[in-house]
Amino acid sequence: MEPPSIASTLPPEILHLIFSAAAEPTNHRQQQHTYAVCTLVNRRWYRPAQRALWRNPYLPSKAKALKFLERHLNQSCKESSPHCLVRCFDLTALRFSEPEDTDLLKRFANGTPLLESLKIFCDPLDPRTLQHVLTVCPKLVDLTLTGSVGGMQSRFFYELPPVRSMELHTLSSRLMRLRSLHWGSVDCTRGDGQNFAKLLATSVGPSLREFSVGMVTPPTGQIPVEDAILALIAHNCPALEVVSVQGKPVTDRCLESLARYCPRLTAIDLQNCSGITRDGVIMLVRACPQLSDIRIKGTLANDSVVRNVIAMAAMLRRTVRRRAGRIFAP
Amino acid sequence: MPVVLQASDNQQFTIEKAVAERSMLLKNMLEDVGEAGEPIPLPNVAGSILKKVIEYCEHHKEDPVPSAEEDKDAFESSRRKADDIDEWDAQFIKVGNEELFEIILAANYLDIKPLLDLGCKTVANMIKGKTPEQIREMFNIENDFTPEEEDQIRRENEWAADA
Repeated sequence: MEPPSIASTLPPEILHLIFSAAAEPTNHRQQQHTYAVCTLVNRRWYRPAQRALWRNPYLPSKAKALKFLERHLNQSCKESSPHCLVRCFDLTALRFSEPEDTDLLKRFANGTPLLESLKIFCDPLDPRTLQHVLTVCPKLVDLTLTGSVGGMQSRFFYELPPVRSMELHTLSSRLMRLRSLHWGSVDCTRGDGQNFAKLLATSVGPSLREFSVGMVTPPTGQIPVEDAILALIAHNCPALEVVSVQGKPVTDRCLESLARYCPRLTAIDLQNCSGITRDGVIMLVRACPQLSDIRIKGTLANDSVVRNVIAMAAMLRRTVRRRAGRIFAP
Repeated sequence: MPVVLQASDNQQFTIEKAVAERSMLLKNMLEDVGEAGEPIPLPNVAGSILKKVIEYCEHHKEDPVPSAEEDKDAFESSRRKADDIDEWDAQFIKVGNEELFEIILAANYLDIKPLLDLGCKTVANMIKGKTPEQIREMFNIENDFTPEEEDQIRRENEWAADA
């Protein structure tokens, strides 16, 4: 009998690397198919392939998501059951809407207690549901929300109480653990969404690395509060590295706060913020030595002087890093 | 100062220090023992494979130290695509399947990350779009599942098969 081939006796860490290399961020369907095939190759391939497959299930429609939920997420989480391998869920395509989907959303969260990253669309999202999700998934650190959040809205016969009178005691402490919070496409302009935005801004803490700000100020009449929200967040989150305020009514004042409190900033997206000027951007580049990715299209700072300053800063940073080699590399 | 490497079959290779230092294992070893001039034994790597690995390191000895976040885009978390392999590397890695896996294992042992990545990307590109049978045949892998086990896995992962 001939000896087994190397491919059938590869150590799991090598298989893990191979499956990571087979990841296709732009073609989730294909990636999932590849992993599903790999689970069937042999026993040695099964476990790492299963891990890769279940890490981030791709459920493009509500029907599929429901089927998946019924079939897998209703059991208790045993060591052997594959749904405990789920770490990331992108449920944006499902377009949840409370109150119809409150239960569904909660069941998804209950079934994946080791979840680390969640993307959802929910319009509207009840802050209490968010609290539930963050409580049953204690490892959740990356959160991307789309839709709308806040209290005091009514939709059909569904009335939300004001944010202040919701029992949100654990939400704050759960939000504090987040590493990234993207709510750039969340509408907080309805009801008392502003209060929810303030709650978010006062809750997040030093573990936050990435942040994008939502829509908080209603389009007409009011003085924008986004600057104040960003000032709070900058103050509470000195470790911020990536910030996006794309298209929000912010001014140089928010850049001042970032310059003062967030020296580790590496990237900022200011596109279409008409209140941002050249002075603000240059001040920020001066204050944040690692800042090299700055998007200024659609701002008053979009001129050749600023672009040169940004390009020089990026070049300087690369040179420094090359010299420092591995030791000081981030 | 040249470095002498000794493969599992006692073949010896004399290479420049800069070439040897593409391997983190050798780099750390050389830092620890200084320059003794003694051959360094590599009992896990056959001579024919070591020759290939050295060829790779020779070609890439001038490369800058890779930094983890160079290709990353902060706002769109897209990474470089798996089939994004440069031309010399693509020619270099055109080898038999057994040899390909031996190179991967050697790169892993010697801790040469770019070569390990190259090998894994190559295998990843080979398995895409294949059936389990085709993968087994391609890499000479025996199916050690019972029909019942296979059936159970299929049922468990049904949601993924036709997504």
